[in-house]
Parts: sequence; C-alpha cells; structure tokens
Amino acid sequence: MASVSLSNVTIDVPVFTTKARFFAATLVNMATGGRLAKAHDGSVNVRALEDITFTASEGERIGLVGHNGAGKSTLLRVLSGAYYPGIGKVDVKGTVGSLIDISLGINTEATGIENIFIRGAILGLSKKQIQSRLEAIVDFSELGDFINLPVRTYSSGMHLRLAFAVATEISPEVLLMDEWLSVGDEDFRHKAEQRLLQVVEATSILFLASHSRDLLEKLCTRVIWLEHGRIIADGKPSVVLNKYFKSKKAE
Amino acid sequence: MTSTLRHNVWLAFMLGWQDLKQSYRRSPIGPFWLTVNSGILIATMGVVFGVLFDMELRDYLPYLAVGLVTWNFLSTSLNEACNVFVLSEGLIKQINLPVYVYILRLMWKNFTIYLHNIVLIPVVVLLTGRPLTWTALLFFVGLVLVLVNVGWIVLALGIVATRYRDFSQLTFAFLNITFYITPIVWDRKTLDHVEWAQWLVTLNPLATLLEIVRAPIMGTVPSLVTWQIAIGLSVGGWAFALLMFRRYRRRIAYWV
Repeated sequence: MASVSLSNVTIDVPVFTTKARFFAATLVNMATGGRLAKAHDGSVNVRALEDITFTASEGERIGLVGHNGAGKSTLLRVLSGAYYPGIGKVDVKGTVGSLIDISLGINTEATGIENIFIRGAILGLSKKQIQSRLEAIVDFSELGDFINLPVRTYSSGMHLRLAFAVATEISPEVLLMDEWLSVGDEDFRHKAEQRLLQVVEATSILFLASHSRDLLEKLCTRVIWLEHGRIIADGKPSVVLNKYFKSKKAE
Repeated sequence: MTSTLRHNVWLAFMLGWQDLKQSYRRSPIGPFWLTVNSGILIATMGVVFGVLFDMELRDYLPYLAVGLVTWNFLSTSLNEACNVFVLSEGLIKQINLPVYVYILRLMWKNFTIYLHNIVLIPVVVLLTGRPLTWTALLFFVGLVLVLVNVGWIVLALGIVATRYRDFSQLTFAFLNITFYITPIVWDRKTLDHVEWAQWLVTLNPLATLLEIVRAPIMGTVPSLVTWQIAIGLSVGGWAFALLMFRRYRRRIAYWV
C-alpha cells in the first residue's frame, strides 16, 4: 500500500550571496570575527515550506495550487526525496516517479537510442525492461530512422516526443507532476493525452501542481492550497478551488 | 537492495561512458585520439627535458610516461571533482539518486581515459629496451591504492566545492603549482643533497601516489614509507570524507 505522510515539515532553502559562495571571503569573515562571524557565511535562508502536515493514501489524486513561489515545487522536491527536510518528518511508502522535467538527463550529443537507455535508467528502469520496451518507445515517438541520430539533430518537437515516450514508460506508485504535459502536433497530442491518462490512472497517489482550474477539477480528488510555504486550505477540489480562485480574482 | 545497487552502478557507468564519448565524438580516430595526444606529449617532453637534465632517455622516458599519464588522471579527476555535483544540478534537484552515482560517473570516465593512456607505458618501456620485471606487477597494486584515494578526494572536494564555488579555481591553481613541485618531469634522486626538497616530496601525498605506480615500472619495489603513506592516506582520507558525507549529504541538493 502506497502512502505519503508529512509531519511538521519545514524547509529552509539557503540563498547564497556571491560573497558567501567564496571560500576566501568566508575565511576573511571568520578571521575578522565579531559581528561578521554571527552571519558567518552571509547566506540567507528562505523559508520555502513551513510546518507542512498531511497524509495521502492510496487512490488520492492531489492537486497543488498557489501563486508562484508558494512552495509547490519545493513540496514536489521533498516528495521526490531530493530535498531532505531540516525540521519534520517525511514518510513515503512506495516508488516515486516524476514527470516534472521529462527532458532531464537527455544528452543531445547521444543518439535517440542511447538516450532511451540513459533516460530509462534514470527513471529506474532496468536494462532488460528498456530492451523489451525499446521498440514500443521508438514507435510511439514516431521518430523513425532519426532514432539512430544524435538528439541535437532533432527539432524541438521531436526532442519532446522522444522525452515523452520514455518518461511515460514508468509506473510508479506515487507520481509527481508539475502541470499537465502537452506535447507535439494535433495527432500526437491526442495520443500523448491518452498515454498520460493511463499513467495517471495506474498510479496509487498523484501529486499535480497546476494553475488550471479545469484540469484540477477533472483529475483531482483533493486539493491543497499553499501560500508562503504554508497550507492555507486542504480539502475537496470544489471547495478549495472556489476559495483559491476567488482570492485570486480579488487581487 | 543489491539490485538497486547494481542498477545504480550500471547507470553511473553509462553516464560516465557518455561523458567520455563526448570528448572524442567528433574525432575520426575515436578514443585513440587521447592516446596519440599523450604519446606526442611524452615524446616531446621526454626529449626536451631529457636533454635539458642530461638524463639517460632509456630511464627518463618510462619515468616520465608513468608520471605524466598518472598525473593527468589525478589532476583531471580533482579538477572535475569540484563540479561533480554542480554539473548534475538538474538530476540532484529532481530525483533522489545516491551520491555515489555521481562519484562513480566521474571516476569511470577519467579511469577509462587513463586506461587509454596506460597503453603507452609498456610501449615506451619496450621502445627504450628496458627490461620489464615481475616487480612491474606491483603497478596494479599501486593502481588500486591510487583509485581508492581519488575516490575519497572526489567525494570530499565535491562536497566542499559545491558549497564554496571558488574551490574550483583554488584547486586548479593548486594543481598547476603542484605539477612543478611534484616529481613528474624531475626525479627526487637528483635532489638527494637538498634536505628540504626531500621533505617536500615526502609530505606531498600526490607524489606518493605517483611513486607507488611508477617505481614498479622502473623495476624497483616502492619503499616501505611509500606504502605506509599510501595506505594511511586511504584509511584516513576515507574516514574524513565519510564523516563529511554523513554530515553534509542532505545539504548537497540545497547547495547545487
């Protein structure tokens, strides 16, 4: 059974001033001591998430809303395990998959085939799994013979089609998404839509950060509204979305 | 658990292999471009400095060959260690891959380049007509110690240099200077009478790592002190790097 549980999670992200990035400057600071030593590295912490507590269980599809900088992306990073919280506890049971950046790890100098293996491996697919699905991935991407050429020779549409075809091969228990993926021309987009829905339906728990009301209403069973790193509301999509979009209009 | 480990090692090797391919992808002779490059460098420096220092080329060329290709491996690894996490920012901020994937990726790439250059060592030895003795097999023992030490240095340096970005320039400058104070183009024996120079070499860990692979090729067993330093450095270095790793590994994603 997949489950996600966060208790009192607080994330401080250090924002370094140029000076704080330099060891030489830090040494001087440490040597001069006193007032400077107090903020010895000159870095500023930005509180990206504050005291976040919630649990998600099997079957939930959770939409994340909030203004830019509200903490949606940070929360997704915490869920993926990339950010370890300084305060609080994160407990994710089940495999986590991400469709946040589908081009992640693509090497433009490498061929399409090579990239299928690289991307597949990054997503956690074994060599055997990739080999057995290779043909299907190539077919889906509609790249034909281009698949043997370096990705740098692709158009941006082809690049995305390849990335999409590999990225949607995953079947995680917890799926993370930042906005819905929309790829390619009319025909491909339709095919991609179907494929994406399949992936979403196959996962136990979905986290989807989005600004689109239609999408959230259509897909989600629950919406969490974040503002300044805190949870403002958490509940039924109709209720939370109403509140959120009303406050947005009021601005 | 073991299957995860195997998968991650495979991933690291694949990424490292891609990095390597990138460096010679557009060259018609492929990876041997690296070998040719080093070969020309050794030949040129060998003749120039051999004549300059009035050395027997028969001794000097193999000495220089081992030193130079091993130094290149060390210095490239250390220089790149500073960016080992920075260059993988995208991956580190999105997914939770173990840190060793990035370390192995870098080491695999540089070790493969080193292997392409190691080929030159027996060639130079044969060309100069020096005998290769059984002692030469100790080279491989030395090689293991070199790799073990590069491992901890890459890990430690990678962490610090992610936090302090000027470490990359500091390391570059440090290695540039170290190239001259380390016996690579010169032999410590020629400075037998200068006591402080002897100390400088003994206290230079990179000199020890070079000596431990070079002495066997030159037909001598590395001295006891050399072994002691190399092994001590491996143990102490890993202890230090792992302590640092334990303390800061969660911070890496915030620092990149």
